[in-house]
Amino acid sequence: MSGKLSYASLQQAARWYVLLQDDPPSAQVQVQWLQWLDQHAEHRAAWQYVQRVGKRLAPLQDEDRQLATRALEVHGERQLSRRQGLKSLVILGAGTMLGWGTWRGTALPRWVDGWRADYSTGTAQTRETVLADGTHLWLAAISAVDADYGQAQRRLRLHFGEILVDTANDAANRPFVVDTGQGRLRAAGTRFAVKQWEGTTQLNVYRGAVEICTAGSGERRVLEAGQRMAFTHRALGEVATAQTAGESWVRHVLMADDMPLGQLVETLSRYRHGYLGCDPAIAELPVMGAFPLDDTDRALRLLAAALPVKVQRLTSWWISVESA
Amino acid sequence: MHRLYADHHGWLQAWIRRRTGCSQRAADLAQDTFLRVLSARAKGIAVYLEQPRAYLATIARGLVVDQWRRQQLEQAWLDTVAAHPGAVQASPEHSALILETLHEVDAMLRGLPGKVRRAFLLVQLEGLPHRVVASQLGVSDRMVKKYLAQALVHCAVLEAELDGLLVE
Repeated sequence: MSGKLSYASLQQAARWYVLLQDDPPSAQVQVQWLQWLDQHAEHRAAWQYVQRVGKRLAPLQDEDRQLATRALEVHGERQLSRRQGLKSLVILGAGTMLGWGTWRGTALPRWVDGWRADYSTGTAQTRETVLADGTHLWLAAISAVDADYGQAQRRLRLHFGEILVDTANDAANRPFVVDTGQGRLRAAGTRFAVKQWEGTTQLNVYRGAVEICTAGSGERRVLEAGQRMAFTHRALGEVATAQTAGESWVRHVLMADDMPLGQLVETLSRYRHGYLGCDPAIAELPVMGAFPLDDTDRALRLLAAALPVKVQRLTSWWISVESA
Repeated sequence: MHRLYADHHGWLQAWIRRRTGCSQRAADLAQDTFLRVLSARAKGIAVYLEQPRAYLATIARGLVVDQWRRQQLEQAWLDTVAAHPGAVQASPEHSALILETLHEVDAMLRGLPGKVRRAFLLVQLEGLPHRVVASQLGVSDRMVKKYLAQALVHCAVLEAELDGLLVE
């Protein structure tokens, strides 16, 4: 299948499929559908993909289908109740659940989709929420967070992805902490962003101060407003100037201020379905500018205009940024 | 890669065995894990190796979860068949085909909300009319159409992504 295939075309194809499937469609609907198909090669390609979904079911014979549906429903319900079961056990007492504890010990990979988390987002989604104490929490795309408010402390656990936190004053004066796979962050009256990926946590502090304590080595360091640091579970990194990018995604803008191209492309890929990657040879190119996260096609055009790079599209689902 | 294998293969196999309680399966899954790493490298994906064991464990865990889901699904199918004694007995080959298809469908629908998933199954798989599904789910006819379109787009995107990967 060549060239262009947009998400919008797939949506249209799916709508037609649903319309044509129900009862006998009117002649008018059929004519309109044929006209739509005729309009673009892209429409025909999208139609084929939607049809192919139906073909996945083809190995099932008519007499299997009712049982197959039941089995999938039973399976779905069991999965759901297992998830809920796990969650309530965690609330009852995570300390006794050794296996579960180890399970959560390392950063969860993307494909787990954060289904166990209290708050999570998928590709191209962001989420804003207000926690019980009035603290504001924003999740960037592909992120998962658990909130665990106890008598002694208010605790967030970032499984993966990126969050922005604006803490509220707590009537009970409980400390506010964020745990990642690499360490614990302790905050007071602050606004800060935390990002976790590939064994690294990055902290940006925008107001107040946050103390880092690494999980492995127990090293501590307080970051003030306007500072950032990346650290692993063993070692703290260098103190640098806070990146506006850690806050700007809340407004659907990626502010690149001397950001390596590789990091920028990786961030864009979280806001786009399909594969989007960057040639390692140019991943270190520094980029300045404001890129829209809600229109990644435009962001890629801006990138190609501003830098000596070209955007290679094998299909609209497979895009790589390469040296021009 | 050779080094990675030599240093961590034994550890990984033991790690999986502790989780699955089966040494044959642990051997298979450990092998699959290293294959994943190899193919990721072949695709030019940077493999993070500062903590190789954490990385390997992450991949292995995915495979264990996948296999675990497969078993759960197989159990759900057997239970369903047992609960419907009148149903036609399928040959072992045909049963295997059914299970493989169920697994594909289950993987395809993963991540969709419950009602969207049910609407898709009842219409696409069982072949019920939209209005019947609407009353079963307690939603409007229009909502069912919306659910179906949502599920179809979700699956079609996966199909298209699959092609994107195959283009390579």
